[in-house]
Amino acid sequence: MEFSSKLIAQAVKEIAKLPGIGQRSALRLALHLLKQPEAYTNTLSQALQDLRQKVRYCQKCHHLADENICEICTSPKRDNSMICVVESSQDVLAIENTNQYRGLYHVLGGVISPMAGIAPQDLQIDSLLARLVDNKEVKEIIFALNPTMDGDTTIFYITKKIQPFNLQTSAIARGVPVGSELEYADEITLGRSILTRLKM
Amino acid sequence: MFLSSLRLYQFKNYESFGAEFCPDVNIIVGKNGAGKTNILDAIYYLALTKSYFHSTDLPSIQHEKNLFTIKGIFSSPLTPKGGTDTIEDTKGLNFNIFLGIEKNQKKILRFDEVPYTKINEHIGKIPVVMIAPADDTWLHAGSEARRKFFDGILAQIDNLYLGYLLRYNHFLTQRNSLLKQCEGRTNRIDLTLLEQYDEELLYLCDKIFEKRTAFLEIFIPIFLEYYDFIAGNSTENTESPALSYVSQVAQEDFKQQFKNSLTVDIFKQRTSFGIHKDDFEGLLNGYSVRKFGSQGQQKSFLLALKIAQFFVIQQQKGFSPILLLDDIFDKLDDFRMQKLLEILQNPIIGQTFITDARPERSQHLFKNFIKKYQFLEL
Repeated sequence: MEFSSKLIAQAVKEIAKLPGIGQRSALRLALHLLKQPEAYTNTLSQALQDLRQKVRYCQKCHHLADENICEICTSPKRDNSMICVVESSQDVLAIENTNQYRGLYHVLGGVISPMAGIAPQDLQIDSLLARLVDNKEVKEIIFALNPTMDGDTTIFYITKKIQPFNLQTSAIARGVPVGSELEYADEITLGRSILTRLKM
Repeated sequence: MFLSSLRLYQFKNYESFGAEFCPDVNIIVGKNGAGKTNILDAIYYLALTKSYFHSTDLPSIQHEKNLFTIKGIFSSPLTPKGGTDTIEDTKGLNFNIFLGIEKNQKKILRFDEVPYTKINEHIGKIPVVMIAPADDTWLHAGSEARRKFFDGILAQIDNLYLGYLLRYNHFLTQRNSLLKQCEGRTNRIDLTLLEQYDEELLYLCDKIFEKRTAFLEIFIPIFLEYYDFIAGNSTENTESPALSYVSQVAQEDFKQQFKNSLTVDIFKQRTSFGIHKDDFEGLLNGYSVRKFGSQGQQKSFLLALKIAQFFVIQQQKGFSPILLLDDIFDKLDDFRMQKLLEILQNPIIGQTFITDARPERSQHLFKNFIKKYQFLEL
């Protein structure tokens, strides 16, 4: 693509670096921005700068935060007796969207996988243990990791590490997705759903 | 079930290729380098999504190209032969399989235009048995070739087994990576994590050992029957062949040995005990056929293994695998060739593909053949 303006070319080049955005979409966005009042681009670029400069990781749960401690950890409305262990911040957002959980979180930053070079000490496992030492209110740890072999290994690993704290541990249920059909569920999922069936 | 039509695009030596096949015997003839074997490999690809001859997909893409596609149309006979979990029972009489492989991209596999999310789910739907000159790795290569042979059969007839094996390989790689990261020092290992991997591996060792043992109980009698048939053994003149499964898991103190070897494992940076060390030994009169068998005995042994593979899959699935015979007539003497032709006339054997560089030889061999056959000249 050739542009009449170097400035547009530069903007398109930068926008196209975003995931899921190609040259064409980038050009469309750039042209759209040009049509907006200048105030809008000012707000947008300010928001982007603040995003990069001010957002940090919560020192307690390692979720995204504006301050040293995130709003979930400081909220008086949250149930301090439960910690839900997840892989990434996206997972926190996904669970928050359900409006079904009022406890706290702990973001590991990945799962244990020696072949990918991720050892337990590369994850926020020690900081979870430290949290349990500091916070005696915690009664239950809920694991919401992806149901992969390495996800399961990580669950078992952390379960062993937190044994001295005598907490209740649980993992999110696995089974047939709502609105899908049994016929299309894979055998492992369906087998597990039968074994861990619910009382009605 | 049989393959009625095949389309290739940028696959090996074919820029594009199309052919129709008959449900019985298809004899593919052509000069050396014409691409006879490549057609068999394409059929193998449709069944198992990988090449019989190469461990990676890159050599199967035409030179200087980025991708290849294979499409096959399969037809089911009007009268299903029963069995569960097979395509034979499902509604349609025709279905098509599409496989597309592009450099540095995920494989695309579609069943009647519907993409698979997990390619493993396809394995076993179209059973195939390939008999090729490269099979002699069973005799001449390391134990891995022999494990692969039996794993390949088990994976096609038992989906649970494939699951166990994939899990085992995953955790074995994780454990070995963990061992490597210790760089030989015992105090650097994360014992909690190691124990986790050990627990998984030991559990899977038991499961896989049970499956392999149970499988051989079905496989061996069929193998022995065909060995005797191919070798021309009678009750007076017998070579008493045998096939034995050698596994550390069979030892009573296996779990203890596995755990005791930790120091050695850390030093060697790999896992010394487990089902990845299993081996299978072929015996004639109690002696290793690999080390002491004559050329003829070894040929009979290999052919009997392959024929047994066919009949075991047929028995377990309730319908016949597609049989692919690559360049077989070059490797067999007249006696064994006659025996093989007799086996091929067995009505249980379904669609068969045979390659031959010498059309006049095949024409002569199939003169009195009782099944239908068709020649495809390249």
